[in-house]
Amino acid sequence: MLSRNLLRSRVLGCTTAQQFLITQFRAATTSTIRYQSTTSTTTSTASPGSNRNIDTIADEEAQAWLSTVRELRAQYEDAGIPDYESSQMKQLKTAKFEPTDAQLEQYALLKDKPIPMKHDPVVSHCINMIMKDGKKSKATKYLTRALYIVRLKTREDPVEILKETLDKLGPLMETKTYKTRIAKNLVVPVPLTERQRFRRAFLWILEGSDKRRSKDFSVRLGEEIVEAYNGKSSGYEKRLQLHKSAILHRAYVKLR
Amino acid sequence: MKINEIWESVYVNDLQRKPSLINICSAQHSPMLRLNTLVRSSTRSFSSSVSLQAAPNTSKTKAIAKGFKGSATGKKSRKTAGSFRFFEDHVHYAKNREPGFELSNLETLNPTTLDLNKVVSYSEQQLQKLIQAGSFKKDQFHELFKTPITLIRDETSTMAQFVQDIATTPSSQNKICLIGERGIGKSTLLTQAQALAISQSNTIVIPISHALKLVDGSNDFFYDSKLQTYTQPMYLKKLLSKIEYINKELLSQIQLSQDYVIEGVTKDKAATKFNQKHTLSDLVQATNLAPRQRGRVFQILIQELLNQDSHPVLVTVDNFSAITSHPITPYRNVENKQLYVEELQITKTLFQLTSNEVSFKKGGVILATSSDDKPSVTLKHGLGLIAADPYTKESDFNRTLASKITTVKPITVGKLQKECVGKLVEKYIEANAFNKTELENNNHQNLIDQKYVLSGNGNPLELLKSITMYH
Repeated sequence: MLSRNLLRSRVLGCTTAQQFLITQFRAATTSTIRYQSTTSTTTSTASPGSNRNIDTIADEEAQAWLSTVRELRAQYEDAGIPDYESSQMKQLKTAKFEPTDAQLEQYALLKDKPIPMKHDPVVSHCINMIMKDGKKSKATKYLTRALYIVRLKTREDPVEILKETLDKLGPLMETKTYKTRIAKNLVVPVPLTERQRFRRAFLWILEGSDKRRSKDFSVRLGEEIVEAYNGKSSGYEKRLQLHKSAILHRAYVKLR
Repeated sequence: MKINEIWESVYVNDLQRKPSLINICSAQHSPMLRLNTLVRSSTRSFSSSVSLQAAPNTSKTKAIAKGFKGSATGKKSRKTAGSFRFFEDHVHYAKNREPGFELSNLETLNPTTLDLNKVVSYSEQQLQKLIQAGSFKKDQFHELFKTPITLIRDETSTMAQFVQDIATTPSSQNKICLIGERGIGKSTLLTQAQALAISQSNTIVIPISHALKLVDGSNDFFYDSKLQTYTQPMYLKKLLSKIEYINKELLSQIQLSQDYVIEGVTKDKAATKFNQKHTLSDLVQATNLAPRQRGRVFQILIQELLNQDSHPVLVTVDNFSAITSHPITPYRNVENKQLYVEELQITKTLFQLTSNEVSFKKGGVILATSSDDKPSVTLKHGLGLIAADPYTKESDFNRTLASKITTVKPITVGKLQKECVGKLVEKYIEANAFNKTELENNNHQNLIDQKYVLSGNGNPLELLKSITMYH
């Protein structure tokens, strides 16, 4: 035991007394743990193999570099050395785009022409409300088909009709409840922004479309938009209800 | 009345047997109740008569009708009235839309004056017949206008030339297949050819508007042992009525070349005889024939048309690629094996025509492919567009069918020129098909330029979509 400790102290670089204390401590705490005498031997056996691997990889890389250099040399001898000082090469170096004169001319030509607006903000908002699980193209398809039905039924611009319907159906005020921490809660009417109004109106349209017969959502939605445009949607009752509530609590309106 | 009569007979006879029943059945009861009482009295004892006189039970079994939604509470909530159709059908159904715009100053499609790049409409006579023939499809946006419009393009003159040729040459020399990308106008060209043939006034048109319906297993069918083929009576009914409507005057001009006897369906049914005084119109219109005899009628019709040379015959098949894509049909025989496409009567006749096995003395065949079908090596190899790999699987490439369409000439339908797009855009502006913002923000030329790009450099369907489905 003593000779083993001596050997261990030489390896770790500590005195025999210190080592004795360490062994005592280990014996007291974890008597089952064995001294890992094989650790040093395993590392010593693993290192030569890994060194060999590194050597071979380095050799291969070097060979690949050399072969590439040889290829390039042969290429330059045939075709000549490329002009590294040209403007294109400089652009590549600086990673900054500089348009050519032809491109600038083209830009000047096209500058004044309007880019067709693909997405109307209101239509886009409605699409986002229809969308489920991030399937935007599907939602777009539903709405465009619904708007086509609106077009056929009214023979007018369906986007205009959608906007008009949302404007007609959207509530102007909404009531919000504030906790006063006293006995009574405050119900305060607040005006809605245009986006908020459209949101509520379109959600009512969606609600109404669910009660329709067709299995095709776009048909249900299209029909409901036409009905709402003609003032027959159930959303108008909800709008009236909101307005009544707002009028009832008009005393709490804060005017600043 | 009938109930009363039954009642009289039963009641009088029964009263003669049971005079005591007079007390039970007073005159104030309805005849039905009295009949009920009598019938029940035959099985029940006389003492139960009090309960029998009670008011009849009116409670019916609760059924959930269409449009009603049953709930757990038993409360029925009716769904709001609305269309039950899917989008394509809803849009196609005339009641779901206001009448479209009628474009002014439109000429009709006339074989004598075919001005290139001109938008025209169909004449009243052409229109009626084409609608019956099923030439206007659901996804062609025809509902934008009051009546369908069409553009005269380069290929239209090819069609006009073809329709002229069929008036003089046999159908074995006139066989074409329209190919091209989706929405490029293959079906529209086919419709134009039909319209031109109709306006020729002596051409018989046989239209097969959806070839997929022949092979998708949607029809009834049975094995006609006399014809040695499977016939599809319901499909034939529609097809024969189409042929009869489109060629009413012409069929009545063609007399049968020989006597025919169509045997009765069963032995006790009389056979129907047609002699040489009868015309083809009489044959097609015959009302006393059973559905199982339609296969024979179609066979005689084709046979007679093959024999005559007074009238040219134009056979048009839309969505022909459906047949080549599905050579093994979902129909099954008595051994539960799927039927091969040539075992069906109509498709067999079609392939006989395309393979020159039979030929009209004057006539032609126009096939149009559809991009909705699975692209098949059979069609492309048959038309000589590609050479199939010899190791191609039998399921992908049917050599027999391909060999039967080798003499059909393919005609590729190309994209529209910018000028044509401009002409169409003008008409769509006139028909109020554009959104207001688009018209306000762009001038005329600008709009044409944009739409030419958005339509994929001249695809008519994409052009229409970019106008109506792009907000």
